[in-house]
Amino acid sequence: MSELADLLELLHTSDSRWRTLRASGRHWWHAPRTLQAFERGIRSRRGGRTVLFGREAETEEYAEREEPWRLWLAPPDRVRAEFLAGDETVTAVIDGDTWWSSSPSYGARTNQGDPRHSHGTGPGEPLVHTAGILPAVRLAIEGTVRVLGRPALGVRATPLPEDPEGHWHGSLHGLGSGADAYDLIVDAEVGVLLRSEAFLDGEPFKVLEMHEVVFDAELPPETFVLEAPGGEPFERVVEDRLVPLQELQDQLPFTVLVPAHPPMPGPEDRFELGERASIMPANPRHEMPTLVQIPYFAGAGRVLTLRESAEPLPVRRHQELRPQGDLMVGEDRTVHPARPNVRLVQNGTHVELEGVGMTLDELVSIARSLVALPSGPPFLAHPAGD
Amino acid sequence: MGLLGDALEAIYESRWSFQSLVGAGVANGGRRLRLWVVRPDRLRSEDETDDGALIIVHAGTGWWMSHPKHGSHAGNDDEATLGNRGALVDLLDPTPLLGLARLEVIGEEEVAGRAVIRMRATPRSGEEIHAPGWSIGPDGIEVAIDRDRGIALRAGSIRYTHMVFDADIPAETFSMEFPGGEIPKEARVLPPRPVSLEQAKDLVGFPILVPSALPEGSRLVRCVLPAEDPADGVHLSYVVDPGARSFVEVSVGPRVLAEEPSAWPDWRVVREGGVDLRVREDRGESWYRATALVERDRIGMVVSSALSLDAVVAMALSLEPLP
Repeated sequence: MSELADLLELLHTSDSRWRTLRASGRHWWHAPRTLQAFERGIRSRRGGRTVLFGREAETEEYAEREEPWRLWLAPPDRVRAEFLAGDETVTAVIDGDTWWSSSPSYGARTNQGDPRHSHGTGPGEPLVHTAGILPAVRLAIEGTVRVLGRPALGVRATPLPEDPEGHWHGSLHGLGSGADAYDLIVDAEVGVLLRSEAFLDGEPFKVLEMHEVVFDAELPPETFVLEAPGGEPFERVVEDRLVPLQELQDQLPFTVLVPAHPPMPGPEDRFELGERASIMPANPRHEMPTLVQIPYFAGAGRVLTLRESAEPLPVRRHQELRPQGDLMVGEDRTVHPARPNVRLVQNGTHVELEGVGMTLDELVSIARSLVALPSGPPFLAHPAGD
Repeated sequence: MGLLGDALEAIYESRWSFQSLVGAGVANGGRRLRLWVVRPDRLRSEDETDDGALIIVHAGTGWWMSHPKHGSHAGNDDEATLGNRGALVDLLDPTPLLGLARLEVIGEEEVAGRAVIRMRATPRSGEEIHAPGWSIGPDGIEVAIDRDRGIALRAGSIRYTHMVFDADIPAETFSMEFPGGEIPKEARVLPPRPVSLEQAKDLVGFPILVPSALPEGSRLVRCVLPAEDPADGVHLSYVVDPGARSFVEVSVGPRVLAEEPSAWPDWRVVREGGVDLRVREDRGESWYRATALVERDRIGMVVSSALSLDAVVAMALSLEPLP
């Protein structure tokens, strides 16, 4: 029996070696290198191609970031997690198919057992599910250490180059996609990772580590009960609803406006027929009214999006608008390059047009062509006049 | 720790445990299989199916296939991937099971004269595994792992009966000559050719039919011909304005009759206006598509749309030759 066999068995059987787990730790990452590693990981795959949103945005940037996390697990299906999302702490409890969560921005929410809505558990969980990385890496034991007072193994994990299809790319995502190597500290008794450090060109870009871990403690029942701050009721998450355009007007209390002749892909572009809109429920917490979003894919990465509501749409943080006749025009600088925006009110409907890969003049021209979306399916006609 | 660790280590090392392999095996109770592999990217698989021999050769990104029913094909993975690599080859890489399955040792035995560790592989998620080369239901399957090489010698209904590792395999094993100098059909995914309707008329050898009845507000936004010359089909896309609120797609040509009738098992035959049509409907949570297939003078025409089946049938019945 080799050391490697012992390590493989430890990692493969880790989740059967403990009954409950309580852990806390930190997640550190270097933002530019994380992005660079991710892009490299995508490019290494056959046909790999991605579009990244948010790069070089005129938002507050940070090169490095450190976040604490806490995790309680009682398999098979109970989890409590506390972690940061942006600058806010999110607390989530999962019990079977049901989750409850609470955060300052989103308040108290639950899926009421609807398995179509899942909830994240923060950065700590990849340290616990260790078997998943085994098809993706080559392992080398580098020595024994003591970490958090526990015997542990230092292990270097190198992603296998033989994965052109990217089958195992996802299994390393939690530890840092696109790394050249990972330095792992594996608990020698239960096989969880006490620490993972991901490297790109010899520089670390992501560290996940435990600062405290307790196995098999009795976790009080209230661990898996979430009390919303102030006792506010849990609001059920409501998903956007996709609706065919020909049924859209009948489902909304305001006039839906559409371009008379929306832009279509050019002859050489990939052709996707959209003809569906999303009805997005109101979010009073963010002062967002019920709105409908209609996308048009015009080829070569050009996308026209219409957002419409019976009420005014709030101006976004990085959106700047100025009057131009009866229109408001400007751009949204949340992403780079900034996206041109046009707003108008027509037939009592508040409309925003946003373009990706389109000019402001194009948007203005399309805004001038808006007409009411007919209700119901179109009639058949004989264009030839017969 | 013991057999489980040994088996896991063997599986883990299986990617590097041999350079070449000549093997034979059986599937589904008796179908005979043969396999030649030189890592990393050359293989030849011969499978005696009920319909005849299925031969697949991969060399680098190139591949050839002689199929008893579908004939001879050749291609390149960069342009058209051939997913089928033969039933035995998947057993050579059980490493996906290390992560996706819970592996338990259930015994030891010999398969093909080699010592194996019998294991039960059960999906870790409790659902199903669909990984490269492995599809495992919630109840799991038994696999027999070669103690020395780490490959699976048996999994489900497929097993090796004989194998030789690291033998010299003649280079010509990984090329394919088709009987009688047959030229294989080239499996290249070439881009379709966007043309105007007028150009299409001149480029195809059959009369183009277009619907004379279309939804109010329709406009033709695309007319494409397949890459092959001469084109055996025309595909027309209409959107319905304002707002491109619906679409109509029409395919016309001999290709339609060659492909569409067998492409879907759920065609229904209806008779409208003295004409037999095949129709089918697809629907999801927020989408619907009706399709009608008609044949006129041995030319097939398919109309599909998110509009109602009645509307699609009416459009299919209105097809008339392009003036």
